[in-house]
Amino acid sequence: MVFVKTYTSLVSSITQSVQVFRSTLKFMKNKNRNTQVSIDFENGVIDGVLKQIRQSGASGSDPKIAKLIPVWCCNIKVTETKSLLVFIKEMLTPFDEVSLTHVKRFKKESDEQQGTFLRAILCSGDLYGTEGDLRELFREHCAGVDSQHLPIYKTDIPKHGAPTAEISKDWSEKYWPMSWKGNPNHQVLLNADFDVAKERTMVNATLDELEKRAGQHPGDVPVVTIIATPQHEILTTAYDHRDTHVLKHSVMNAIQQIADLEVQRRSNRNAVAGEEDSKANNNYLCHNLHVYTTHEPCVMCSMALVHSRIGRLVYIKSMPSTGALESNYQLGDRDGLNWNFETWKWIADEENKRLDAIMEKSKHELASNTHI
Amino acid sequence: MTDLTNEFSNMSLALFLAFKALLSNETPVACILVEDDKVIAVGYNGTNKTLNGTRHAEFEAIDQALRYFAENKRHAVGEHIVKEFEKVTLYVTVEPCIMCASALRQIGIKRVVFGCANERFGGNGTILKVHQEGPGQPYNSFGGVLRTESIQLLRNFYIQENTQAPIPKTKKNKDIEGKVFPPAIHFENYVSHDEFLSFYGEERAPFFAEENREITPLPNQGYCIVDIIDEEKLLSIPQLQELYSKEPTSSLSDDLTTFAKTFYPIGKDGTVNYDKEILTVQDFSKRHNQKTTSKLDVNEPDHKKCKLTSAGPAVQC
Repeated sequence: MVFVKTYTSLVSSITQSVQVFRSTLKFMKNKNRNTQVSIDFENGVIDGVLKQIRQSGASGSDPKIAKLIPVWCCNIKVTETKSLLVFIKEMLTPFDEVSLTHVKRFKKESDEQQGTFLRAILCSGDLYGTEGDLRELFREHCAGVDSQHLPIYKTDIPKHGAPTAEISKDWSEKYWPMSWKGNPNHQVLLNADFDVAKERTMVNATLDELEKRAGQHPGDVPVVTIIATPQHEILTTAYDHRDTHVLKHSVMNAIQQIADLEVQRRSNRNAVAGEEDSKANNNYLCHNLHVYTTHEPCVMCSMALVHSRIGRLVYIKSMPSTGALESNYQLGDRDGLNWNFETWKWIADEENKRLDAIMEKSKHELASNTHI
Repeated sequence: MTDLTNEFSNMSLALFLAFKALLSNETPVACILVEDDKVIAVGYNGTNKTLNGTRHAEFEAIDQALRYFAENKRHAVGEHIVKEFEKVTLYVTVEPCIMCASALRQIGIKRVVFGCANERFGGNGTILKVHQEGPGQPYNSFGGVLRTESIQLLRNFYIQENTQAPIPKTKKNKDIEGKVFPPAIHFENYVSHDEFLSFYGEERAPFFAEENREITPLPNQGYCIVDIIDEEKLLSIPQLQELYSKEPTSSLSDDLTTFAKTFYPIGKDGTVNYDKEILTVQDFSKRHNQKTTSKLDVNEPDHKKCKLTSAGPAVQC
């Protein structure tokens, strides 16, 4: 198993995690529900059963090296600060898909020509194509800043907050002043807010379905996917049908079933209302739903989950060759894709053994079936 | 000399289907599957209609092809599918996304020809090289065939959408006329040098690392879209016939006229002729309104005129 290498490293990692846990608790203002579960911050494991799968945890990426992204900047006089802040808040931030809360907005500079001035981050580099577009926006919506002579340019800043205070300081000197609010992933782990008992029930629900199915349908590949609400209400259960249609993997089927349910729901609703209901009551794809599946999804299925805007994925078994999360590509939180979802692997022994046993059993039954 | 006329001709069918999608406010991405020079399936983006974000044009076309195989008593079930797709080429206006790139690998597609790169999700080289890496059977993917035309349709779609977006965003793509296209495909991300030469030919070798010139059907000759699209081939697509029979107000020849004016011609050196006046999606609706008020359009269809004058260098059209 990835998470426990030796007994000693286990002990040391537990000791470490308890320490981090306590010290983090001190900084927390609100008591989180997660105080009920133990969090191994170092390895990203919750209660010894859910392992966080994420890009920076993947081999080959060092969290100490800053991943840089371009942002638009400008230089202003100190007296222009207020107008600029209003402009950023109203005209830029609401449209920006990139969060910039991990860096300070301003950087104080001075030179002989201008005296003291401020360098300010405006928005992500992708929000506007050219400096001219931004200048035009300034001209129309920011009277308090001299838009004509305003220096507007791009610069690179770290994409995420730093993992430690020292690295944060280092990046502040090297790139741009950072806001240090603790390791951002510790916050993610604390906010994950798992009800571990319920998660275990969901994982076992996929295994129950798999067991029911195993050996019943000759040629069936034993994989099951469940899509549920974040409150653990099961919306649909899907099996794998690649024996008849090579692309009908259980994840693809589950996504299709959610779409069918929504088409049906809208048509029923419209039949009752007699006209189209407001868009506000529509469900959008699999937006923020939780997906439970027995095996690490392949490239097609993982990207289908990205396109479907799911909130969270939990799977049991890694697929080193075909899997597109921990095994290859990390599609759940890969940079550059327009949607990320949380990815967790259920590492508890009991369910992993149960899955292996069902797979083994269905293999035998399949073998005897094919003889007939 | 490597003549790519047939590749362009096939792609122009996909481009026309994407154009039809644009006319009905759908995402203008489309594809066709071709086996032995026969169009066996077509696909549009069906994500809005099905409420399923995975119903990209490629998936629609693959499912149609499977129905075609079934009708022809070809056994494309389970793993046998790979055998059936081994002679099938996909022509798609935009590089397949990561999901579709993987699906194409799993069905064992022979090869892919695409128009423009998919900057956000491209799975044939832009973001990932799913066509070449990982388990299963790799395939080649050749881009840049009707590249600027494919982009032009997407641009039209996005200006249309952005008219409803809040203020600052509309600024981005306000005016698409005369706007320069992004640099040409950086082929080394998609194919090896040898694969490139095998498809595009030795005489196009400089295009392997070319920024500002487009691939054309014949080396050192320009084109405009009407030189390429074949009305008869279009009419031979049953799905398109069906589409027009459902829309009595529109006709193929009217649509072809508008289609011909939607794109810039490409000069013989492979550069885009931005001087030609083109129509954008706003003009389409204007033309449509004009047509519904007065039906006295006795002039010869414009696309034919263009064809007549294009006997010389295509850039004149």
